[in-house]
Amino acid sequence: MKTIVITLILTTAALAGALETGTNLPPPAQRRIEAARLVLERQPNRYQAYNELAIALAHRARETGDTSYYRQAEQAIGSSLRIQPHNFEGEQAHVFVLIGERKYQQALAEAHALNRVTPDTVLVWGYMAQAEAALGDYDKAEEAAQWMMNLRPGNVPAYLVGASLREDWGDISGALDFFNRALQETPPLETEEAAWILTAMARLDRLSGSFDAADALLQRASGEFPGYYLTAEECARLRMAQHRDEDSVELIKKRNQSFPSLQSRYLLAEALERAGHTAEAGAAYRQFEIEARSRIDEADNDNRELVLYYTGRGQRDDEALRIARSEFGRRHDVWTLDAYAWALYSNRQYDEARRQIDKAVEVGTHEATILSHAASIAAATGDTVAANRYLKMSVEIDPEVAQPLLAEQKGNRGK
Amino acid sequence: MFSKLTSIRALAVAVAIPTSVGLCASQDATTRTIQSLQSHLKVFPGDFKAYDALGAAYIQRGRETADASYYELAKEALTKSLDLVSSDPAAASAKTHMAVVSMSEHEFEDALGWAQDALALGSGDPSPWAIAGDALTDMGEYEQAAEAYEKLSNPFGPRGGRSSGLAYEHDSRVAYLRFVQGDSENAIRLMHQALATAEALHMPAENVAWSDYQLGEICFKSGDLGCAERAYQAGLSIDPNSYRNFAGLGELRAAQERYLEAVALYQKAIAVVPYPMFAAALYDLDVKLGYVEDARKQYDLIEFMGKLNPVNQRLFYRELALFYADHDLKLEESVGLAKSELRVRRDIYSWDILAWVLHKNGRELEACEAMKHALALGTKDPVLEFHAGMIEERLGHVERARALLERALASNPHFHVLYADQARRTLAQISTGEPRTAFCRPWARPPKTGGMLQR
Repeated sequence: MKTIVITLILTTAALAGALETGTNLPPPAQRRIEAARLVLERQPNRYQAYNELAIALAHRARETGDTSYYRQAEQAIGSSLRIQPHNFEGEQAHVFVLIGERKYQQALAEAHALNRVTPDTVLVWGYMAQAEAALGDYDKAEEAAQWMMNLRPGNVPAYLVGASLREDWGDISGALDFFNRALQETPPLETEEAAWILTAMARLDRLSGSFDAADALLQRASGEFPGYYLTAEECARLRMAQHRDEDSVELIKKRNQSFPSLQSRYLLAEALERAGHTAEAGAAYRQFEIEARSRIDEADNDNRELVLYYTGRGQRDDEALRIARSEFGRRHDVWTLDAYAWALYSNRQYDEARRQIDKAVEVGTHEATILSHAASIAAATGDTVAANRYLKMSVEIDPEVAQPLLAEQKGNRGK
Repeated sequence: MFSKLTSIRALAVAVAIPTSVGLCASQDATTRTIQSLQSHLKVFPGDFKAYDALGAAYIQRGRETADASYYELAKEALTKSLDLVSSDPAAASAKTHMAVVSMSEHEFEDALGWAQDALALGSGDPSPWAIAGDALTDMGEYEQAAEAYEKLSNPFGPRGGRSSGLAYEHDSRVAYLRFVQGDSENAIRLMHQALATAEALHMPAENVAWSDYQLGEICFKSGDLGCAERAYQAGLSIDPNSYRNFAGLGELRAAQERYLEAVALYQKAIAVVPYPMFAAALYDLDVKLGYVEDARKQYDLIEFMGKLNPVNQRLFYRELALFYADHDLKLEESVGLAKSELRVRRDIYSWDILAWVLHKNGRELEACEAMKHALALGTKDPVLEFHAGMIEERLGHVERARALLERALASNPHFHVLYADQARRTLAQISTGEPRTAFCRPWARPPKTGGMLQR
């Protein structure tokens, strides 16, 4: 599941040694943290420095994958608001942190409140767009994203939000165009930002089957921000798609040495399974399950993967449905709709499954797994026309994803 | 004078940006703008855009008066703007203005940092690349500056290509880079292009006049006095108070040996903005014409302006160093000033000034090393060639000295009110004088005898 975070860049003290390349300097967020702390040493009551510190800390969370930075960011915001209650930048920074923590409902509510105060702030519209998309209201997300673009044509946050929405709608080339524009405007020192965009573009190329292009982009991303965990994860996925499963295992194991996420744990289990390390894969899945279950009710969960796990090798269809329903109660984005539909299907509730998967497909997603699920569900409801259509779409994107269904079809024809 | 171009140019961006608040070259208009914004902010203290506009107005005031204390006021206003909004793309304007203030104060690394911060907000406005490029130019990073200026060509801009305003920013700056790289022809072509754009866009008079001045300078240094005349006159016709064009035309008149007119023009320039370099040029003219008392006044003005406040001191290191060296005054202090300048501004002209003051202090080998940096790009500037020629002469490299001095005079026989005559005298001496004995790598060959160097 992708996480889009608008990068907020701060003003702090001047960047000393700015002529050096990004690889010679500390990472951008780290520099800003240090600069903000320097200001606070001299001016401990400067609330704006606390705001900048908070944003830098949240940004550092994305740089490193270490989510404890969000807690530090919350503390910094608390200090800011104590010094200057209701200061706009502090409250806006809080929304940014909430988005990073995937607390979308709360982020949306606070963003709305800020928007009522100052309706022409591009970033607040961006937070609303992100939160609405994450919660599944793509119409409102689009409206907010359009406001971003209208307020300040060509701004990078708008391009990033727009790219994400275009991807959700299945407009891959449109998404790549926006990412490319954002990349063009990213200054050389913003190395993590550039790497993030390049990795996102690589993902789109991978999903479209353009593996060489994806590889080239990931090489660039690695050059921009060496050791970036998001790039490593995407590289691992690419290697799996290229059937270089051992390479994938190696990549993700290395990535997981530092702040492994639920997604990266699941990815490791998948990679091990594909590489034929059955016992190790089993252990990895169990590890994932334990961690994922501990966070079922938290905002930063990985319930989608957990549901897919339980409907597959986990063999706990009823538990899958319980978890999926709970997540569906919180959000209706395409990934949640897909997981819910699949859990319903696994529990033979085909009509309801069909209703939910149709909503997911209606958004326009270009994702092979979702389309493959749609094909299976449509077939289960007797709609062979839709089933074949979805299957064809899935195969065109990624033939491997639809293999089990294709095999089933052949078998049925044989009978 | 030309070496000051970059930091002055940076300010042109600040003037161009807040056209919505009606800034123009008139000091009265700027004062009214400041007062209006101050009144507005009393009623709407949360208006970050107004603080930004106020900062821009103070910057403009600083340009109009040459009083660096306005930059401090600009910083205060811009800081307040950024306290209110700093992470939204809308804050890019205030951060760009902070970069301009830093440029004005010759804090080039800070300027670069602010410009990069502005860009990092991703506002979609590539104009901070202009300031980034200016800062890099002043730091002597010409290649990086060129890369920054190329970013002003935004293929995804609202007009689907290079917007005209950005084309102006690009062309006027790249023209300077071309000049320092020895390509005067393309520099002139680009400046003409920039001027055409500026006029087509009806840019503020001061911006257009500044571009005329820049064109005039390039033409003058290239020896095309007709082009220089047309450019300076055009600048004055569009902005009758353009002190830069007064000074440029004054320099031209001095080159044409029309000294009384030159004096009057420099006096007009000083009446608008009393920059030390104008006073220094006027000093030389007064001395040439025998106006001793007037020369003394200019000297006092130079000393006063150069030491008005700490910011002014930093702004005029180069001009003071040059003046002292040219007139064999406070020579040790001139070395300190030149080194201070080089610490903050590592462009070819800072190296040139250092080379010149070292030469005047009799430190020829060090002067030679510094001059290498000044000439590294192949700039065709008769002043650089003159300085280099004089250093070579002192080192005994007569042929090289001859070549440099002749080149300086060939481009413009009156390229400088003092230097041109000195160049001629030195050339005459070279023909009859004895070579000196010293080394200056890598031009020197190891001596085979007791130190007599010949090429």
